[in-house]
Amino acid sequence: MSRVLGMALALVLAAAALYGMQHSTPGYGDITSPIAIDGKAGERVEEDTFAFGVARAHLARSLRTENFGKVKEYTTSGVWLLVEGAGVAKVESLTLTSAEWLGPTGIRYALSQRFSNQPGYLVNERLDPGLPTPLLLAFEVPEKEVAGGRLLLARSALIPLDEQLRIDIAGVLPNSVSPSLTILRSEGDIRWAIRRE
Amino acid sequence: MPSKTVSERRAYWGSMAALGLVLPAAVLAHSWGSLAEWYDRHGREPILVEGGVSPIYAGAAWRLVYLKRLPGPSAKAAVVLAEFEARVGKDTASMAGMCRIRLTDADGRLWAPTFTLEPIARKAYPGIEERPLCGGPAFAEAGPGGKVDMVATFLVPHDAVDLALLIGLAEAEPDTLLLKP
Repeated sequence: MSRVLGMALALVLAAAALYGMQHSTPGYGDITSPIAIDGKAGERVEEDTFAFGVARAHLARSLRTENFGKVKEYTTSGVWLLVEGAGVAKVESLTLTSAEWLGPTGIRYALSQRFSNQPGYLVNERLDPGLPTPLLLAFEVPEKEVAGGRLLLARSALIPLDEQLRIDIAGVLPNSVSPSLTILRSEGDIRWAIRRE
Repeated sequence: MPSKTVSERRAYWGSMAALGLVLPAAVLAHSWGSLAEWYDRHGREPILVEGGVSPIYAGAAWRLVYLKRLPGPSAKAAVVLAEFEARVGKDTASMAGMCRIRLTDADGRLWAPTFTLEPIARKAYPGIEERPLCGGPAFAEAGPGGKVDMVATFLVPHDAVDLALLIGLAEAEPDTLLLKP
């Protein structure tokens, strides 16, 4: 009798172990997810192929662009998070194609595509070795997803086990949200200027 | 339980030892293709050519005419103008794709060409903007035996020295050609 009980117990334990393993096995996406490299605003954060530094950040209810006298206004149901920084390639010319804002709740927000014509905007600029390039990024996020969030930057979102910069920008975040900011074109090394309304 | 005979023990430990050899061999055999592909992409050195020699690459004879350093658009960068030529061989089918051109320096850094020729190069060498892009359409137009003169500009930092032009064509890769002045 005790032998039968022992076998039944072993069977139950084996089933429980299998169930546990089945539900705790990471998926392909988890196994091949990017390797995070942490950093914060004001310092050079780098991975094998590029380095990036965040200089300033702005928050606004709406953004305006002024290009050759033509004004466009971009509203949002959340807030605009504008990040100014500079990037440089370390080995080979490249363009960064993966930029996200990781909110404190774990939700990720993609880089806004609404400024794809803006000079200096991340996806329009190529990074070259030895030549730091000023870069502008804009995210549309709910206001509660700003504090405690991180800027995520990688060469591409499609390369398994690639490195990803995870930058804490709390040190340069403003305390309040501006009603409106204007992005102007500029002719210097930094190809934009930000004006507070 | 009867004790194991000497031959059984020998067979057991022999099998365990064989596992130590067979398992790594199985992993190696399974991943051999990926390893070979990785070596082709990363481990292969480019074909190095110096001093105006015209090597045959992708069915054409290539020559670096010059690399000229010009003032850059900002204080931190210089413009490098590269002029190079290809004399097309008999088989233009082996040159159907577009070239992948890079400028390299002594540290092994690689710069892609600018999307359009830098204004200072166009001003210093009028007419260079008419040159064709390095690739299949230009080679096909030149035809077998024809010569294609090409230019590209690069933005590099002032500390980039010992520059050379790296050319790759899909039909000939993973081999690439490194032309030094």
